[in-house]
Amino acid sequence: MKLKNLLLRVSGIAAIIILWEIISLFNLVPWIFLPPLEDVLAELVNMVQSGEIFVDAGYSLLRVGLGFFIAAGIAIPLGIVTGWFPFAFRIFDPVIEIARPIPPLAWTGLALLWFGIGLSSSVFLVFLGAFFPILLNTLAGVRGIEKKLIEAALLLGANERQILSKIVIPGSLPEMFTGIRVGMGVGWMVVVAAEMIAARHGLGSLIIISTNIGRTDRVLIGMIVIGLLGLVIDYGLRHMSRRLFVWRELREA
Amino acid sequence: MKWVILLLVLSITFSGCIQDAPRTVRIGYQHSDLHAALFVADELGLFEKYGINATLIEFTGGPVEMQAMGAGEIDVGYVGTAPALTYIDKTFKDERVSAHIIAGAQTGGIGIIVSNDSGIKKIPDLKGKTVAVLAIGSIQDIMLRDALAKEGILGEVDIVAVNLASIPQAIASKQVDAGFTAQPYVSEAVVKGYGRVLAWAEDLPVGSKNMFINVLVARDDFAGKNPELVKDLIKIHREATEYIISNPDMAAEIASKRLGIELEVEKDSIRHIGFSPVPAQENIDSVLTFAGALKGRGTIQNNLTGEDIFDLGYTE
Repeated sequence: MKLKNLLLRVSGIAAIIILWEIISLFNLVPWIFLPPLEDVLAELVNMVQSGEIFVDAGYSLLRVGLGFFIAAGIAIPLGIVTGWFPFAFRIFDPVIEIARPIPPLAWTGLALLWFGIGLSSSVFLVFLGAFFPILLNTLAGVRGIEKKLIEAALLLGANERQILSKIVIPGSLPEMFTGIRVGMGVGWMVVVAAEMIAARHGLGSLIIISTNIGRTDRVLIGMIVIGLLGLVIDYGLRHMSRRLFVWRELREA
Repeated sequence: MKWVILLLVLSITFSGCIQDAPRTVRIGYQHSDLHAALFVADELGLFEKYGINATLIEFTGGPVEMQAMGAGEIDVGYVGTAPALTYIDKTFKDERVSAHIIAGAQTGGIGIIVSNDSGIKKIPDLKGKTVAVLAIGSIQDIMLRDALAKEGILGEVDIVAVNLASIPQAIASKQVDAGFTAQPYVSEAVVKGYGRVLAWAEDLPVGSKNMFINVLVARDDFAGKNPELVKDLIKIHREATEYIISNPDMAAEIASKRLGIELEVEKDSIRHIGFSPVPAQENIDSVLTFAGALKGRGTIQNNLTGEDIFDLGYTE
């Protein structure tokens, strides 16, 4: 059964590789549209040996990491405050509702003007991309706490601080975590686009430079590395959330 | 006698039309004086004169223009030599997408500008600075990278893509320390007092006075199917180029109208561009030298020969 599962899981990837090989074997499209897999792998080996791919991946990870942690550091406390205190909700909700639908990349022009060309403007764009998913999920988590639990705590003589720290925050953690996962995903998308506009290193910059000089093999490498890193990060976060929130799954089951 | 000649000319012109009708071509270009020959040809009605229905398509930079050529969106393009060469390098063995340079467009006319009060006096002073180019992979970008690599400071300079027309403003507002741009924007910075010229392309290691900065590229499949049309395009290009050489002020007026740039700026700009109607051997040699430099830097992979790059068989 396990083997069958494994076979099914690799079959999709295998189908793509076979299709790619057929296209290359029969020379169905020009190299510049889709180079053979062998050329891509050979260039990947070059880039690993020269360390170039680690530099680009490292820069992208650094930008995502910084933007993401700043976003989480602001969005989580703000989400708790906005979700718990009705007056805060009334103040922040309209601002959030207007700012939320603006795509992070619409901020590109302002980001360049405010932060110049370099690390801080792409970190700012990642921050914007990650901020709203984390904020909105935290907010939803806090507001979704069962009233019964709070009432019971009040009856037992808990004060507001105890309710926040013992019920509201732990209770909204799963939603927060969902926000973190979504925010990380959006951050990844934004960093690649931000690096395409103005950056010296990074996977987005690798892709745009390679596109512009016709190095489709390197474009594909950039894309594959982005996909793999995204997969690893999301897998890590999901694994962490499963371990942290065993209680929730038990309750739901 | 005059009438006879006129009739003869007309009959030849129209017979040309009938032979390979429909004579349509899609020509790519950019918002710059380096492609002034195309604007002049269009304004003077040279395409109509040769019975050609030309669609002109504007691009923001050479790399994207060559991508459009690869996708079959344009047949012919006025484009920077670097994007033309990087494209040829990836496609010259595949006749489905291959292309050749069929004529030179111009020499000179691109330069690095810095703000008047900046302390940048020579290329090594760019260390730690930010330099704008119109596109990563454009001729400016590639010439800049080569010059920085020769000074050993390539890794210490931020190179960013900024829209061609916005480069002078980006310098004026200190968004960037320098900008490598094309005419009329070099002249605009100087005439309007935004900045001064740090170096013209010909002052850089790979540049030379004779080097084609922009060329005319045609897809091989298009040229193969429409040889007479391509020959006529080159005639049009030469007529327009000769017109610019003999009437620089009129050409400046046309460019000013097409690009929306002040006439005063255009007059200065056109003077700083070398328009040469027939490619001389030294023009061809300097492009080959440039290709060699690109190969040396790993920007292109193949040792391209003159035959791989040029197809001058359409020039009569």
